[in-house]
Amino acid sequence: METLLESAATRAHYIAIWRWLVFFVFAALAITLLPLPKIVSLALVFGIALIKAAMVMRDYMHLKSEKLIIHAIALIPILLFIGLMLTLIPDIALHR
Amino acid sequence: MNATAHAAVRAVNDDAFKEIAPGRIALWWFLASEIMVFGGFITCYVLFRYAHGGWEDAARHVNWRLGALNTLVLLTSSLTMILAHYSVKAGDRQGVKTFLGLTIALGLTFLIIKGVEYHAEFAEGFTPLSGLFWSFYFLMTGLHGLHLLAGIVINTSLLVMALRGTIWARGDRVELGGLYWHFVDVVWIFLFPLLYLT
Amino acid sequence: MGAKPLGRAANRGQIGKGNTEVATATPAEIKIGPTHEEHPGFWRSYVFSVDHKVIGKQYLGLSLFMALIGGAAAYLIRWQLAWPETYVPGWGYVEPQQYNAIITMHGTIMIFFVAMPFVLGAFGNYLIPLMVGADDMAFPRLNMMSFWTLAAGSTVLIASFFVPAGPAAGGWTAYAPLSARPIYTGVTWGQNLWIVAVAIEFASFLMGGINFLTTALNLRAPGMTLWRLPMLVWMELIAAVLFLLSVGPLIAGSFMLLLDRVAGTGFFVPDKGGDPLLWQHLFWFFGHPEVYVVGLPGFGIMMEIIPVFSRKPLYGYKTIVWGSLAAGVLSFVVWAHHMFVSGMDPRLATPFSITTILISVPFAIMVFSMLATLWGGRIELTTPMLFAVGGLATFIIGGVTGIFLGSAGLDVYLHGTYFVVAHFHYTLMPMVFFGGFAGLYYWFPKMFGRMMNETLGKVHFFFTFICFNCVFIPLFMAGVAGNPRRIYELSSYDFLKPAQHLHVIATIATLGLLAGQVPFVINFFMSMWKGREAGRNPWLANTLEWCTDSPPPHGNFSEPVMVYRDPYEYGNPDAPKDWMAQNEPPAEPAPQPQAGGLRLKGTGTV
Repeated sequence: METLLESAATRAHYIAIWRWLVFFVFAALAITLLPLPKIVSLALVFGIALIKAAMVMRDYMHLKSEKLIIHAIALIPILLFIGLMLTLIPDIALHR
Repeated sequence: MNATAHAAVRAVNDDAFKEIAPGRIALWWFLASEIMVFGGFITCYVLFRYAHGGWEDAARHVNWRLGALNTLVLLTSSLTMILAHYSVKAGDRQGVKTFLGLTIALGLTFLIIKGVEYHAEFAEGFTPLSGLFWSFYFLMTGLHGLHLLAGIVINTSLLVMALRGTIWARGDRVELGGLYWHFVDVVWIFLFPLLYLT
Repeated sequence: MGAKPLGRAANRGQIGKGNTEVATATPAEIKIGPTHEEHPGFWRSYVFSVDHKVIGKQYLGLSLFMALIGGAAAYLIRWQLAWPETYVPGWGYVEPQQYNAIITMHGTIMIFFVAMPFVLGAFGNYLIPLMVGADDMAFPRLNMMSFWTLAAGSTVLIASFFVPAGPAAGGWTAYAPLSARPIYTGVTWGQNLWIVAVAIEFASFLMGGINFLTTALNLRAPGMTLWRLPMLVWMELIAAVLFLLSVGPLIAGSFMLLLDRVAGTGFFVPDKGGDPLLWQHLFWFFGHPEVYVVGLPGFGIMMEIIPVFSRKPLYGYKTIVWGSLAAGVLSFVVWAHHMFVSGMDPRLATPFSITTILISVPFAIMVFSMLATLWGGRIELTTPMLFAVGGLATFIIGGVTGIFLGSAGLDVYLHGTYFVVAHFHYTLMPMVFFGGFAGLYYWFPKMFGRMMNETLGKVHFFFTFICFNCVFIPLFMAGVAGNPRRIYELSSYDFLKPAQHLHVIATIATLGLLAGQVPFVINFFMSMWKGREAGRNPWLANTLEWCTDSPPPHGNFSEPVMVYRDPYEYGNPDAPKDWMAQNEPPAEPAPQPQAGGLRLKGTGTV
């Protein structure tokens, strides 16, 4: 069992994660408003999305304390569809 | 059974899978299949967007302010969901009800805002048939909305269990419902920049 | 951790572990699930049952019923090809539009509604819990829902025969834009219902697959380590993972295709900016792993049967497992070999040729392991063994011709011909029907408590084996001669006339193949009521399903199961008897106290 002190810390941690998530939403919006080159702004915006998703999965979905098999179950499909996307670039994206 | 046999059984018995509750491992398998479904949509969208010029013009017509507001709503709902799970673990009976209720309310808020957006877009003449960008936009946000609706239904059933007090025997259900809810949130985390910010 | 309690209660009791800690729940408060009612009544026992054994039989019944429809479609197709535009006994004339619809339905039904419910649904449901020593699936109600979802999908598909303009006619692959616009095939609601039926089928097997995975990973009896799982369980597991991970993009694609048809979007319609090639990619990204989804369980069945009737351990257990895992991984990177002639980017052809030829390696390992198991064994040619060995032999022809088709240059010539038709029937028939029938003859005593008739079984086997080869060897020849597939009337082309006799041979053999199933049907129903009583373990086999009653009672095992050994300990000269069941405890404290002392050499690597 967790002690009372630990559980209060857990709760504070969840709220801290939420603060970071909110911060990143505004950061992404700010980046789109800055006069950055398109590619840089895209990289930053999707980088932020990745960080946000990673935070939700790590802390809210408890991947942090899960076993390796659960990490594998979550990671393999992500790699698979990214692989699919990359393979199809010559066919679909550069088609015309 | 003799002692050697006992030892042999025990020695080979503990592997990693059996220590994960069946519900949780099953839910993660389900999420893996969901990742492939949304991954399929995102793959098609990204490839088409790369192939066709001119989608920026269409994308400019979506309302990023409402989209950003919805992102905040959904992120907050993830917080209330995890706090509901936390309340179950901490034995806080009132907290479970409060936070499940808040999560449901935030989910509904998201759907209402999404409805307002759809309404404005239809009023401007943008429908799923106004070009591929709009087809993808309505299909992906629509399916995400349906997933959220399913999450609301699940959370409502959990809330009913919490109100009846039956949830304490099956506290893991709040965690499982939460895993699904956070997953729907993660999907939106990617849909938002894909559809609104590029 | 101390010794674990057994069975379902144990697994439910573990909910409190890890980060699912529930302060207020004690194991006593946790409900054990709906499986153990005393008198469930007719509906609960036979229709909406949550017992995995009943559900397995339901899958079996559904798949065999759908196989009748698929077989009838094969009959019509073959008749039309041998004697074009003549009266087909029992049907009438096959119109061109009907021909397209029949060929589409034959493929769809055989793959999605026969192969999958047969080797995955029936054998997976019936055997996984028994083989791992569990009392039921991890989620019995989800299991029931999977079956009834599939039944709903089958109903939708059958309903599409009766809508105006008939069922789907765009091929079982539903290539866009043929499937994306009604004007191309003339089919309206039929194709929509096809998409819905297939999507429902996907949902059903997603639920089923998750259940398989959780059951086999979490509900194993004490001592049943992953390396002691019977090979069929491994194969069902790998099949479930492949299906789960590959079907997502096609589900996305089927939403898009449905919208293209009913709402008028243009995802796959070129003049609206869409890309028909994308559908082919999404389809085959699923489609190739799907081949192994329906294939691997058939292999698993053969691997259960061959050691039993050779009285030898399965050769190279771990190598087979690693090989099939490798085949599973590779199956995700070979899909474009179905598309060498689709007009895709030619730069994709070489890498996909290489991966395709690579994937033959793990399958060769599996085939050679089975041959090595036979080598020097005391072979007993019972009906299940005949089907297993016959399936293995025919599969080799399918596998070898696959290497031809894997090389892009040759495939450009062969892809549009009957060579491809013969090739995929030579891979799928052995794995699904030979494997499936082998399993049915082998586990029938367990399922119904009675033996099947051996004479009728052998008649069934020889009819099936000989006629099957007589159908498809001529089609290889017709394909090499340039006979294009998917053509309604071949005899209207002068250059194809010299090959017409091959089609006549194939069709006559098809009639024999279909007639050869009659002994099976008679045998099945006769044995169910009149067969010899089987007893617990008629084949003297080792796996756990044989250590309980035939048919097993509700809850499967009357006493807790403990597993002490590998699944294929046959014919060990040091052992007191020819077979050592997995739950048989070591007789004495062994002279050398190593746990591995009784392991057999055959379970090492190749």
